[in-house]
Amino acid sequence: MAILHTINQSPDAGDQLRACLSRAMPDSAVILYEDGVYAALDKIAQRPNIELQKLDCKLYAVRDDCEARGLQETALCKKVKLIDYPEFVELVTRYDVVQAWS
Amino acid sequence: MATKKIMYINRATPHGGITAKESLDVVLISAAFDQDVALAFIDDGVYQLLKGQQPEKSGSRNVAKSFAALGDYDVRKVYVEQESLAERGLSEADLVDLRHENPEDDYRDTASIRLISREKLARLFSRQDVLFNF
Amino acid sequence: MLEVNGRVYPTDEEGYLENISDWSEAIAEAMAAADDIKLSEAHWDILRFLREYYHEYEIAPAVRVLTKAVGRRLGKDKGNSKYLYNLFPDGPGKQACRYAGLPKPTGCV
Repeated sequence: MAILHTINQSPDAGDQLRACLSRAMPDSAVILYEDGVYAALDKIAQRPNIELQKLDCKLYAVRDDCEARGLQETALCKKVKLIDYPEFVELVTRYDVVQAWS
Repeated sequence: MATKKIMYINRATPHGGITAKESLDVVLISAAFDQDVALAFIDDGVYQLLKGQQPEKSGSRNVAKSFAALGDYDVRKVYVEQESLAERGLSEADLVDLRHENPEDDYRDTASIRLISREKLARLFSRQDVLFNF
Repeated sequence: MLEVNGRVYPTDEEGYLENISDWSEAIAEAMAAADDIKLSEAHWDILRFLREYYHEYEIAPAVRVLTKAVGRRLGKDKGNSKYLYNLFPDGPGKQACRYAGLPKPTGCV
């Protein structure tokens, strides 16, 4: 059963991301959206307690939410693939279950 | 009404909720009453000042756009904590350029944003009459 | 609510337009007419200035700020409260923002 995790909170505003990353499995995927996209900033992605580079599952961030917040694509962690909302919906249909962290 | 030194400490992201917008409204209202207003941006609050935000893409108000009017409201002190920027891989070049006319320097066009270390800013907190947190 | 040329536009309880995009010159004229004011070119200068200000900053400026900003952009002879109060006797911040389709100025009570 492959699981899709969604994160919509800044990593400094709560512990959604920590809770999610410690439970993500190789066949999982993680989508960062709304304030969740701040975790994709390279500098934050490299923090010892986050280390998105080392994550062995797929990782996405919503492009519109990055652009709304003024995050440049060049400032983002290379591991993160940018998607639009239709692709978000498509991913939701492709996974067995969605864990929307709150 | 005696002038008070008021500092607004902003720790919220710009589009995660209505906190950033509420803070700005309170700042504008208090500035209209001739108070000595300073703003501080720390932790996630520094994201509010990022250049190139396009909040219409997620349907919220562009707070960074409104910050540009702070000079008109005589808000001239905008402190940004250096460590908070560095922890996010950001620098002053990533921030909007806020300006005001400095009455102490022949109304010369002057930058409003001042980078400040965590330690100095903490000491500056203790020299205010009132601290508001958003 | 405000009715202009057979169309009804939602307003708040103080008469400010709910949707800034509803605004038209006809609406400004109708609001002014209700206050027995005929809009002159001098009024329009201020209304246009306010709409540009709002477009740039997303702020309806309070009267003190309006006065200063008008002085800087339209000249000192216009950037003073006497001139502005002559045009908008109910208060240049409140009344002019309303005619311009903006919300009530931040910092006005």
